[in-house]
Amino acid sequence: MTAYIIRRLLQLPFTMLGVTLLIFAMLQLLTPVERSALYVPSIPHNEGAIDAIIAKYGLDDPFYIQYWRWLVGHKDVNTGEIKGGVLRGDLGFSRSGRQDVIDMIAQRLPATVEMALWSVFPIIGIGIWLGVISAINHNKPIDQIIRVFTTIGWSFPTFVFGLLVLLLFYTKLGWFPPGRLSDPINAVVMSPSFRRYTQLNTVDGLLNGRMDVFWDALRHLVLPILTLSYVVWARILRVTRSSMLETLRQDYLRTARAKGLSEKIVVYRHAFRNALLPVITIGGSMVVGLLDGTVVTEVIFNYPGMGSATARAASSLDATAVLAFVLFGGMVLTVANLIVDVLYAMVDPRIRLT
Amino acid sequence: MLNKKLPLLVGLMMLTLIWLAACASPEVVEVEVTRVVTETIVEAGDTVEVTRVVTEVQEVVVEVPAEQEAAAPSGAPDPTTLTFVDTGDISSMDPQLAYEGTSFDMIYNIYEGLIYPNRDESKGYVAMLSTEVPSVENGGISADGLTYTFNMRPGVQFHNGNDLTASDVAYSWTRGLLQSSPNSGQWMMIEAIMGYGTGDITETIAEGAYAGDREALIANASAEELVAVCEAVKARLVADDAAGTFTVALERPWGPLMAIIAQPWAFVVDQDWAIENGDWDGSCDTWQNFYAPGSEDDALSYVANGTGPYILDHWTPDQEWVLTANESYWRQDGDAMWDGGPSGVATIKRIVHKTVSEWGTRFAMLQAGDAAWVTVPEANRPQAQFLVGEICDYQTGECTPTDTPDGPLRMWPNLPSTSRNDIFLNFAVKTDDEGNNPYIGSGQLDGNGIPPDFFSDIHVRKAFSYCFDYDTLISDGQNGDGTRNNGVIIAGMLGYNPDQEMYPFDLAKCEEEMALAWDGALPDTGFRVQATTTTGNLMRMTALAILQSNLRAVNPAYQLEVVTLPSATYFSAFRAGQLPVALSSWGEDYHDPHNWVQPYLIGTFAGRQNMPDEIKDIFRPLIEQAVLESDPAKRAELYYEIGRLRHEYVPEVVLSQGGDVSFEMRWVNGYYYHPLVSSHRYIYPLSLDAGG
Repeated sequence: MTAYIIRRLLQLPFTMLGVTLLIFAMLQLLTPVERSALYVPSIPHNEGAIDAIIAKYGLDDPFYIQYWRWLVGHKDVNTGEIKGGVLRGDLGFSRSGRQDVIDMIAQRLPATVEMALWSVFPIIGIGIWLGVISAINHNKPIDQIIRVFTTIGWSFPTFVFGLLVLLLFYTKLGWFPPGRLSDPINAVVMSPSFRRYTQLNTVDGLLNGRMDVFWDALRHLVLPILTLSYVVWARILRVTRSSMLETLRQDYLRTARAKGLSEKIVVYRHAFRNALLPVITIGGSMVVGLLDGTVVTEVIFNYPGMGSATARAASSLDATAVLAFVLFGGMVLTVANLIVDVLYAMVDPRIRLT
Repeated sequence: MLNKKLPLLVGLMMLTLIWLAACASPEVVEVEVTRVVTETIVEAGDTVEVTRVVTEVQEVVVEVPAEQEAAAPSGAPDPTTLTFVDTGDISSMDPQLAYEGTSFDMIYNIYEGLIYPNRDESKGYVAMLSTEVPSVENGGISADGLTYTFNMRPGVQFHNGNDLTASDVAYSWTRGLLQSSPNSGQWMMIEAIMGYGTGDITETIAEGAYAGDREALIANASAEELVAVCEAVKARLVADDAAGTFTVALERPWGPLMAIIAQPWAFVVDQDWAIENGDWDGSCDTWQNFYAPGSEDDALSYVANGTGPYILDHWTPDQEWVLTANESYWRQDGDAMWDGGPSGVATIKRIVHKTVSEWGTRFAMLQAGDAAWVTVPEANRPQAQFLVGEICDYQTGECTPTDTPDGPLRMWPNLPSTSRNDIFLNFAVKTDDEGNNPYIGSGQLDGNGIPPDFFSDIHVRKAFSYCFDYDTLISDGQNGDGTRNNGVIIAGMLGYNPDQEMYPFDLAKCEEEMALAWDGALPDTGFRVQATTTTGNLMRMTALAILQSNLRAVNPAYQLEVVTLPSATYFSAFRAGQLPVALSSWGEDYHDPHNWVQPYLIGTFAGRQNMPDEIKDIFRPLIEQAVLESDPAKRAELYYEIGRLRHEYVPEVVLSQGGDVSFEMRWVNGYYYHPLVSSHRYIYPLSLDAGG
């Protein structure tokens, strides 16, 4: 398995290269004049300014030269210093974020990680639980109710469901506001007496002994997590349910029942683990995908994570940031897939990773 | 057993957590407080006064909102904190560089200039960092209108405790002019002070060949040329710290000067602080290294230190910025800014600006009472109107209850907009070397495109004007709030001629003009052309759809394809002169007809439309004459003549000036409308009702 993991990690840079090449190639579909808009906030109105920008950024250079420059940087004509270069760790300056992309990621990633971590149980735990209940009550009223409930969630566009829960739980009831922290608590978190251990507000609140910060951060997480969960429960439920139903029909379970084992032991000890494999595949990638940010949910709830930053960068054609986010997202998904594969092998000893 | 019940138990625990989170109670918390203190200390035997910025941690009771009432509160949740929500974030905090509204929202509250627009527009300006508004009568303006002298207000300090001097003003203005950023408003200062029509300070070097390109300027201009540019600016902006005066010597009299310098690009930064932060050192040997910056390489774009009523607390990019009241503000209690205006330290102690791109979220925040006001797109105004409890008249200030008098919002309708969308027709569309341009189809008059000079035929331009249904745009695209303009100058402004003839909506005339164009070929061949605007603006798309529909009604072969582009792509192509038909808006930079006729007829838009020089040369002398004329009546006559000629040449389809609407919570006090800057941008005059 170790060799497999090392081999997959070695493949990672090539995957990244392919992804960025694709995005870079798509950008070339725009003319140099159109691409000049990607590099400056507003094109000067004086004659020749656009040509100057094209020359400055080498926008009419061949594709491979522009790509190489993006990878390794370029020499500043005034100072002779090498500037930029993804391989040098310089992801560039984001126009839409008004800061270096690397700072933007550092600032927004903790918010996304926090939401992803808190989402794990509701999404996977409740999803699987509902799937199991559904399967063992196959075609009974409880099965029908659960399926209808989750299918409604599946049918709801995230956007609509998010706005509905926002109207109910924030506007009407005033329970769960949008954003990441309320203003007074934000002042606490930004004060020098509050130590940022992890940049995760709930965790740092606990580590600082500030339950007010913990609760406030949690209040702000409830609606995004609820929205994320409700729209994907149907997928998890469907996979779990069908997998459980198939497993429950296996001969070895009939044997277990014939041996006189109770139904609880048959279901939870013998069937459940074997039914879990496809769930891990779909659920694992679903949750780690959250690390890449969930665009719609973050935008609706004004949650300052990677998803909302990506949306803003894309809508304002901030090429520097978009390329960096694609790179980052590709890395997250590739590593996440690797983790899911490893988990798969751990859960099912029949699988050998070679 | 445990296996089966575990999910249920954990689920119950989660629900308990959620309930506890929702019911979080008031807490005593520690917050950081920054104060400016002045102490008298004995140093080396001498008693000296020292000003320090002190940061200390204080315990305060924080009310974490528990369950709120379903109805909006009758007062502000916290009368010392004003939260407002906008769609965008600042691009720069540098007053000399910033050039859009979201940045101005912050800058107006932190920085100040020599003068500021009076609440009552007819009364002109109030003195800010100068002791009085200069005029010919008080000797501040020379009789020939070329020299302006400002007496500096004593005792003013920047937020860091440094004293304000006349040299700071000279440094700020010189810095702005020499930065000459094409993305800033400095072109107005350069035009007004130096008389350079291009708006670029390097106009005198190689006829402006390196304008906007720092690297080219450094590489090609000689040291003597560079020093000469800088010294020419310094000769016009002279500080006398001993006398406490700042003098501006204009190249030529410039009527709109006061309107220009009352805005952020003329606000004052602290010279010492700027240099400490790595900005220009004031030397004529180095200014070129700071020429034409973007916000990413500008030292003052993300730090702030002004003299204004608010101090920057923090800025989290793309999320929020927070200002706190300047407790050492120079304006004393009783020293009212204008009759009945604010004085002393700001009443509102904390301003929180949040960036929320999604309208639904902003609307929810408004309904919950968590924002004093939010940006309401034109298309969403009807939604906000359901919450309006009273409607107020911006001219009288009188308010009338609506049918829903308990509604939490106050509405200020019919605010004259200082911007307008128009349809610009390109006289000579730019193509690539092979003659291609995606917006003009085949590039031929073959029914599948247009030739690049299609709109050089005046009959086509007239036909487009006749084919536009102006009333439908006002009713369907502008919610009935528009006023049709008869020329490029907006209604009500000096130079707006109410008797100027307009092109009516007349399909027969449209057909007639089309038949006259291109030697009568159009009715048979037809044409296909793309009309473009930016994505996401319903009003603009409606306008183009109206034109498209009417052209098709005249002749199905007249094909106008409506295309929306992301704003960056759209503006890039528009500025490059590639768009044959572009719907774009102009918002005035200062309230003067020159700021309308100049960009439309000889400047920005004329350039983007590739308007021929022979047409621009008809307008140019009249525009120059009008801006130099000091007699308002004579000026108006000149603008009337410009309007008459514009009607004759019809370079664009002038649409209708929108009527703006402002919404705010009813617990906000002190709103007023001003065409240059409203009180929703400059927070100092506002206060909030307690309650909630």
